[in-house]
Amino acid sequence: MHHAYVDQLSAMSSPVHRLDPRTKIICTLAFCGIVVSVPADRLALLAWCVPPLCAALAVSRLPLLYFLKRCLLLSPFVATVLVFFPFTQHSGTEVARVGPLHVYSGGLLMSAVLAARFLCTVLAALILACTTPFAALLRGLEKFRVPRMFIMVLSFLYRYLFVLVDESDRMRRARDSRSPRPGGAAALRAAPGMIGMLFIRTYDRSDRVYSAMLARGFDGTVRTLDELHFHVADAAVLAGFAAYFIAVFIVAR
Amino acid sequence: MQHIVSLNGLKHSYHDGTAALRGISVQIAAGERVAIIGPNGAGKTTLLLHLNGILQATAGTIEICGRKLDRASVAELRPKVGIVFQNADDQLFMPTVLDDVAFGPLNMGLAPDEVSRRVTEALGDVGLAGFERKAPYHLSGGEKKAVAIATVLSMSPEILVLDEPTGSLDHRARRRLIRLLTSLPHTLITATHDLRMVAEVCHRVIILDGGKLAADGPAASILADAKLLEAHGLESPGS
Repeated sequence: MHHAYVDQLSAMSSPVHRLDPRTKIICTLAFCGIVVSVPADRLALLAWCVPPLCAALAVSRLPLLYFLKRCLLLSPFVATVLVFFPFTQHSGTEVARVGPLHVYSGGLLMSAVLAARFLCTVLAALILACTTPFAALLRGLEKFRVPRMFIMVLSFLYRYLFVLVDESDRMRRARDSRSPRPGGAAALRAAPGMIGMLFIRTYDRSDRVYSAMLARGFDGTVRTLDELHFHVADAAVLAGFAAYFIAVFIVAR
Repeated sequence: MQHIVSLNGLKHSYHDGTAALRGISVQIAAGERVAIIGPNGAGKTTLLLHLNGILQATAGTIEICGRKLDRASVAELRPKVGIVFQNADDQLFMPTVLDDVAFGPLNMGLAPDEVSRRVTEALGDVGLAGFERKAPYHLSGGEKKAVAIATVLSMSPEILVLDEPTGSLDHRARRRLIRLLTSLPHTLITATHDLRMVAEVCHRVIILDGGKLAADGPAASILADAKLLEAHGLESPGS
C-alpha cells in the first residue's frame, strides 16, 4: 500500500477533484503552454501565472509539503542547467566574477525564468495527477483521441506496476533471508537471475491475464462505461481560466 | 436429464508434449455443484480452461448447454461459462473495480444502462456494493476474490467455474466465500485442495490424477473414503 500515495490524494474530495478530467487536462496543457512560451525577458508576465496555480493548490487542499518534496526530487535535472546559465550566457551586464568566470545579468535572468517555468509546469502536472484518479485521467485522454493502444498500455502499466514491485520485493526478501550478508557480492551475483526470473514471471502473468480477458469476451477492443460528466463548474473554470489569461496578456502588452 | 456440461474423451497435450488430460468423459447436470480434486499437476486447471475454449482439446469433444464447443460457437458459449482464475491479480486487470466488472458485459454488446445495472447487482451479490471506484490492488485478498467472482456474475453465466477459490484466504474471507457459493443458483465447477470447503459446498466430487478420471461420485461418499483419497495424494477432511 505504501506505493499508492498519489491514489490516496486523488481519492480526496474537493472542488478541483470533482472537476471533469477533461477540464483539468485542458487547463494543465494550456497553462504549461503559456508558461513555456512566455519570452525570457518578461519575468513579470510569468509572475501572473502563479496566482491560478496557488488558487488551484489551495482549493484542492493538497498537502503543500508533499508537493515541495516532489519538486525537489525532480530538481537535479534542472539544477545542473540552472547553475551553468549565469556563466555561459554572456548577455546584459557583468554582475560578478568568480575566479576566471564572469557572471552576467542576462544569464541570471535566464536561470530565474527557467526555475520559474520548471516550478510552474511541475506543480501544474502534479496538481492534475493528484486530483484525478488515474483511470479518470486515462478516460479523459481517450476522449481527446489519444490512441487506444497507448491508453491500454498505460492502463496495464498502472494496474500491474505495483504487483511487479511487490513481486520483486518478495524475491529480494527471499534472497536476503538466505544470504549471510545482505547487499554483498552474493546479492550482486543473484541480480541477473532475479531480473530474468522477474521477466519470466511477468511473461507468464501476461499469458494468464490474456486468458482472463479472453474468458470474458475480449475481442481486441477494451470497452468501458462512459461516465465523464461535464458540469456547469467545468464550464465556469474553463471560462475563468481563459478570461484570466486573456486579461493578463492585454494588460501586459 | 439435460446435461449442461458434457466432456467426451477429452485429451490435451501441451506444446512440450506433456499429456495433461488423457481422455476425460464427464457429464454434469444443470444446478450441480461439482468439485474437481486431485494432486498437483493432475490436470485440474487444464480441464477448467477447456470449459470456455481458452485451451483447445487435442482430441475429444466438449458440449456446453447442448452445443458443441468449437471455433464457430466459442464466442456465443463463452458468456455462459464464467471462469474465476486462481490468482485474482490475473483476473482483475482494469484500473478500477467498476471497469473490471463492466468488462465482460460490455464485450457482450449490452447497453450501458444494462451494464450499470448488472455491475451494481453483481457487486451487491458478492457483498461489495459501493466498491466501484476502488483500485483492485487496494483490496484485501478476500475482497479481490469476491470482485473476481463479480466480474463473471455480471455476465450472467449459467456455469460458474472456479480455480482454487479459497486458496490464500483467511478464515473469515473463506467463510464468506463459502456462504456466497452456496447461495448462488449456478451450476458450479471448482478445482480445489480445500476438501472441507468441498464438503460444505459441493454435491459431487471428481478425482483427477495423472490426467485421468480416478473417481466420480457423491461428495459425501468420496470424502468419507480415506483410502481412496490417500491413494491420490489427498487427505480426508475429517482427519
